[in-house]
Amino acid sequence: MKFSPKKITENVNISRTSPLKEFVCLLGILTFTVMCVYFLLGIAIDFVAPRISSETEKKIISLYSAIDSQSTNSKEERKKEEIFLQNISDRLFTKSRGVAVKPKIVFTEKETVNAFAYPSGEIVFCKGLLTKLNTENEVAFILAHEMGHYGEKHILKQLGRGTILLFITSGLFGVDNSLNSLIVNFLNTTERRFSQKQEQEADLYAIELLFKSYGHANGAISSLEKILEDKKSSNIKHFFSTHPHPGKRIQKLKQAIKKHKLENTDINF
Amino acid sequence: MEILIPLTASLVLLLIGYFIGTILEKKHYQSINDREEKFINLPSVTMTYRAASKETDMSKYSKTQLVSGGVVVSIDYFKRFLALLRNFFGGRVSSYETLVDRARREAILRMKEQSSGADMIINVRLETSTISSSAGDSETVDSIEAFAYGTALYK
Ligand SMILES: [Zn+2]
Repeated sequence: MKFSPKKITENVNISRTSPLKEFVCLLGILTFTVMCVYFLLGIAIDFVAPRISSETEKKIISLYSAIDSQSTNSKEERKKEEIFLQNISDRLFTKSRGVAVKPKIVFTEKETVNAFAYPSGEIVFCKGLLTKLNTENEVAFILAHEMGHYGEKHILKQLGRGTILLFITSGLFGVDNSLNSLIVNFLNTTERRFSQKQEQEADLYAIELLFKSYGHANGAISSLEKILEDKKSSNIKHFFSTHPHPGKRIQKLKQAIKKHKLENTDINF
Repeated sequence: MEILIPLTASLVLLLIGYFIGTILEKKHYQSINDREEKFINLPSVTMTYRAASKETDMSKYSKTQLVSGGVVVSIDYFKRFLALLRNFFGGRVSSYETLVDRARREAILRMKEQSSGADMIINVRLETSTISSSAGDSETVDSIEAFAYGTALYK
């Protein structure tokens, strides 16, 4: 047997497929599957959330208030703004529907014009917003709106969706991955957690609650205008925010107030 | 907004991994092809000594020696991600194929380079082992080691 050297020209050991094409295909299929699962489970969550008993909701909230509490001054004396806001909130709470736990107001010195409802049952109210508002009615609208996120079960829905997302990513990439901590972080920043539809629901909930508590819904529109005006001016963030048409939200609110005759024409403001 | 930053970072890493990885792989293949051509007259076969002695007169060789060549090759971020995606659906992990192929051929070439002056290498064996990032509990393969060894026959 004679050894005859021969140059190998074709490599049969490697596939001649385009890695980029494979990447796009696989990622596309995976993303599509995940989105389908997420969408379907999201529908299930929307169905289940309003049917959860207030006892269960209390348990969930207490779970979050233990780990996710925003208030730092639990032992210190509460600020006078905080007490003022808490009093309005308590008054609204007595007439509210669907709110399982009395919201605890946390007042922060932040200059941002915003207020957030947290899963822990706390409503964080920023100083920047309070200074912009002139009347108690305007303040009450904001608080009633945030209460609407509890009453309309938006918080529960968002928590459910977040949990689903965590399940999916944990299943795909393992429990301890960087994506999970990212999602948890994202869920904790409440700013853009609610959809446009949910914001409108909360607005309508708010005017209804205002009417029940005060007999009119004055201040609602000017209050909403103030908070949206600031969102509009805050540069690039607006582009990604869930409030693409602030005008539409105001329009819807005006229509609702007109329709249900919630405005008290005796009071000028 | 907050979620965009790590996403862009991953995307940039993927792009860098893809472009630089592709360039380096091309270069490596070029070098492998060139060197294989250079060593084309040094046969490396899997025949045992006994089998080889039937084919050729072994008395013409004055020295035998164990020769070996090893290499550790890693894949880029892009291909690792691609392999991860492949893990969900199954099928040919084509992004690892080139990795293993390069490692095996490089190991044989290094073995040949070590045995300069040899007439032939018999009894060639190839071993492959994987090196994971976090001591075994990682599911993804980060780099592989290929190790070739055989008996060089010198005149
Ligand atoms: Zn809201």
